[in-house]
Amino acid sequence: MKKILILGLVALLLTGCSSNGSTGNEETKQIVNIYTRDSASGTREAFEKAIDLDVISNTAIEVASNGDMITKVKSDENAIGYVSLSTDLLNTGLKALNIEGVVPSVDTVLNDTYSMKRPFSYVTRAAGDYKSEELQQLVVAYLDYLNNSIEGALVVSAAGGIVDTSGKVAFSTLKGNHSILNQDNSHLTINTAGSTSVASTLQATLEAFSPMAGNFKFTMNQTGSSDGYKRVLGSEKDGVNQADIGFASRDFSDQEDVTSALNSGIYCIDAVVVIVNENSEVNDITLDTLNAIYAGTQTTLK
Amino acid sequence: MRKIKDYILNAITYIASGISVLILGVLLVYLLVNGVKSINLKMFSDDYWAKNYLVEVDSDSRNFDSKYNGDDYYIKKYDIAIKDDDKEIVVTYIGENSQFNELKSLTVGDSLGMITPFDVGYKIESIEYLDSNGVISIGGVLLKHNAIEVAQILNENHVNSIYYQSTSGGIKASIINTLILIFVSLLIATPISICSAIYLNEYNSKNKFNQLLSVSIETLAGVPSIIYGLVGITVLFPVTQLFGATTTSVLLGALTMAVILLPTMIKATQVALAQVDQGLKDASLSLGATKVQTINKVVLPGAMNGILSGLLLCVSKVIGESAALVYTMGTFISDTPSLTNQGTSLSLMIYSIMSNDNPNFELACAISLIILVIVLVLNISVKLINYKFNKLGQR
Amino acid sequence: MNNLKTTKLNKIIDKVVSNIYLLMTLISASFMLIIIIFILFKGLSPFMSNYQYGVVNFLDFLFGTQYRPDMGIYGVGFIIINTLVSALLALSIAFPISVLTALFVVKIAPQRLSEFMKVVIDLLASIPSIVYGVFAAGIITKFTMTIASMLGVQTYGGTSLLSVVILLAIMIFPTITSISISSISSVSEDLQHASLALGATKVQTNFKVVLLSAKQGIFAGAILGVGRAFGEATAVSMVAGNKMFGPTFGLFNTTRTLTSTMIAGLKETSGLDYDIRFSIGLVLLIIILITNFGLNFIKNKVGKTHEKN
Repeated sequence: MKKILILGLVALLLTGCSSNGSTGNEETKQIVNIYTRDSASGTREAFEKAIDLDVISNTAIEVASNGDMITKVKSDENAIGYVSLSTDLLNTGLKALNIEGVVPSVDTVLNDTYSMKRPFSYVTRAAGDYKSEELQQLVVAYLDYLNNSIEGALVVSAAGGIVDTSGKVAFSTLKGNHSILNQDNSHLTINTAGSTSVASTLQATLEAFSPMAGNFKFTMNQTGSSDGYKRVLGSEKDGVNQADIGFASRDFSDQEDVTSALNSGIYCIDAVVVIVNENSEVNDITLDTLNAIYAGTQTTLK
Repeated sequence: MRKIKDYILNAITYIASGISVLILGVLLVYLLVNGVKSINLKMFSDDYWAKNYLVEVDSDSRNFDSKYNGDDYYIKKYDIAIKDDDKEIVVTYIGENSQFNELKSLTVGDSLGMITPFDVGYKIESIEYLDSNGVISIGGVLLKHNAIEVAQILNENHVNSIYYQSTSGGIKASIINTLILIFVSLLIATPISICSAIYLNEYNSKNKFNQLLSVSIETLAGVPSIIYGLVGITVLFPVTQLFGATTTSVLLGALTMAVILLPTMIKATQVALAQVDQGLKDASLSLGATKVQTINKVVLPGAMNGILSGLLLCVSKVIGESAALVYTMGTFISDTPSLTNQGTSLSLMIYSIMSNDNPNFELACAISLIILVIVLVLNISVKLINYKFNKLGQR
Repeated sequence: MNNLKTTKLNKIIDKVVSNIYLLMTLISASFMLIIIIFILFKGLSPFMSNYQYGVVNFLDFLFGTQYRPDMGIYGVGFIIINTLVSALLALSIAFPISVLTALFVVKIAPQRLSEFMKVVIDLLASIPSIVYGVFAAGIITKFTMTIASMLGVQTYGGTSLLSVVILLAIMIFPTITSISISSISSVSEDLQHASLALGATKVQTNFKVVLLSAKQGIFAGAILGVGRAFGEATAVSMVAGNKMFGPTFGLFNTTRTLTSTMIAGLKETSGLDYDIRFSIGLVLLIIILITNFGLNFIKNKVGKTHEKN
């Protein structure tokens, strides 16, 4: 009985195997494997919006984060995927593709020639909705540092974000507005939530600001852009995973009403970069081709 | 013909066993190759998140009798050496009399003006200094300076403040969390298990009710641990809220773990109890002791070795568990282990690192090696206990 | 008088303590009930008409061939088949190797080698599943890629059904082997001596007599192994790929199991996406129950025919 079962399985497998993939002929083109982020990701939304994609092909593999995308695309030589520009691609064996001739870089994003870009936005809890008055003042001070100081801008760009440094001032001039900075804040914890793409810039600024602000603690719980608004003003704002500042790697949607927040805005720009294996022959790609590939109508890279 | 057939059959069993040894070998080699470089003693006492310091340094010159003769960039003014490492600037040498041993914290709070720790391996992030025109400028990794440029800045200018980070990637907190997890879950599971095993073995009155109890407990063993995680977060979360937990926590993980351990511990205790000589039990009863006295004074001590092995088996299970804890403890790697906060055990830490934004494969392999060593030690302990007990028994 | 008092006291202590024992046992056993109730309750709730996040059609759920949370499609039919396929394949690889290794350890190997093998098997059994996951993501995927390129087949960077099967086979091997070792060790010596006396060689005795007598125990080990293969979550999720449709029969295609679905993308703590995991958990429990019953039934039947012989 068992033997019959096993024989049956083997037969199924053999038919399954042969219907999958090419037969080793050098001339048959390699099928491209598409990788995408999970549905809570702001990077995914920015990417799908930029290539005007309706429904993604069901052969796509979902990865959990920017880092996971790099790991998976790295080990699959027929892969195509997308990451944030702030991700460090050096030594990963991957290369970024030019979009219709434009090289993704800080300059092309700032002068608007590279089209796949998106803002890193933030939103806070409503005024008075914080665990304590001190925490609220600390959040205000942090956002002042992040948005208006040169030091903050430097940290963000060192971590890969794109900022326009004109109009920013030294933090020493802003310090005076925040009396919270003159005391020990090690009993306060800032909780953040939302996009995983903002993680490197967010962590760098929190780490740099902490010793300037009485050594407050912080907990980053980044799980995807749609959780950013939810956990400060939306359906989860009083739940298990509530946060003080929510981040998204896209603009906030119409359903995400930020008018009640204490503070909201954009702290830097980021771009979405299409990545492939560095040995691939393809160096440039058009938005239409990307749409065809991700919708499943085109199955090869070229 | 017979002999050849026999020979082949024997050879096949050798090959089969060889395969398993080969797999173990490949696994160990793989972990060693990837993880050994990341293992250092500091790991065990470091925090996972780097500590951030903003300090001022004494810029007055000192005379150093410097003994440094390495390859890195030496900074004469302060008797330290730095080098480029990936995209960081790492300190590789600190002279005995260096001003960097007396850095004073500029952070408001209890530590204002106190000396901050500064060690080899720490990373210099940014420096605020007065350039040749007396203008306040910033240098360091933030402006994409490399080690040479930073060395130059430090040597030639008056420094206002320095922002540096301690080493990171340490597992101290996770180890403490794992210990808390083990302790609390065993604390809950052991008495319940021993009592249940005693009831099932010694008060076994073969009625349908007892059979139902027995079957229920046995079926528990076959439930995948991820189901326990689901149930834990719905049923046991309100219990932890009584203790003040507001999110997933180590306590919730421990409670869930205790339930997972029940079938294993009960079974191990049952086996241990069954091995106690029936004659001993009868003798005790006939001498007038009550059943409870017999159990406490005769049966339990005799089963102690089996119970200990069961306990060590449970410890291995706790260390190895990941799926249920992902649901109940969360995946945030915290540096402040506590019962009512989120945290990670060692296994969870590996899962968190691997599913993070920057999977640090080497660190994951290093932690795997540490877990393997702990588990190996536990296994050997079990064998030693059994060996010693058997020896005693033979006397 | 004193003696009477202490005996009475002892009797009361006896009653109290034995009731405590009973209470503890009831607590332990009740967890089974709690698990069943909650998984049933929360698992069936998305199918009830008053579900707050949008009712899911039960038949679509059970027999669906697509699992796409982004489009709100939740079909686990193909996932069930995938789980069965991967577990049974893993069993068919691990079972012969386990039994042969167990036979080797108990009957064929010299004493020291046998002890060494037992240590190896113990070690393999105690490696946490997350470590197997790291290992699988590193080495097993590369192994699959090499085989695939030799056959000229393209893969998704090694994440595939084959990787899952190899991983599961390695993980259930120690379970089946240890139980087989106990079974084979307890085959009666008389039976083996009788066989040798009748002129059979040692090897013939080992393979024909010993293995057949230990059949029941070995089978029980296989059942336990399959149970473990069904329930493995973290390690499998690292090499499965989580395909959105199925079922997957191609060895080099990505796949998706019930457990990898339950643990993938776990971010929310509310909403349909979260509650549906309980439903999947319910399906998993039912599958395990049915498989256990079925295999136990076969085991008992095999035992009966063996006894008749």
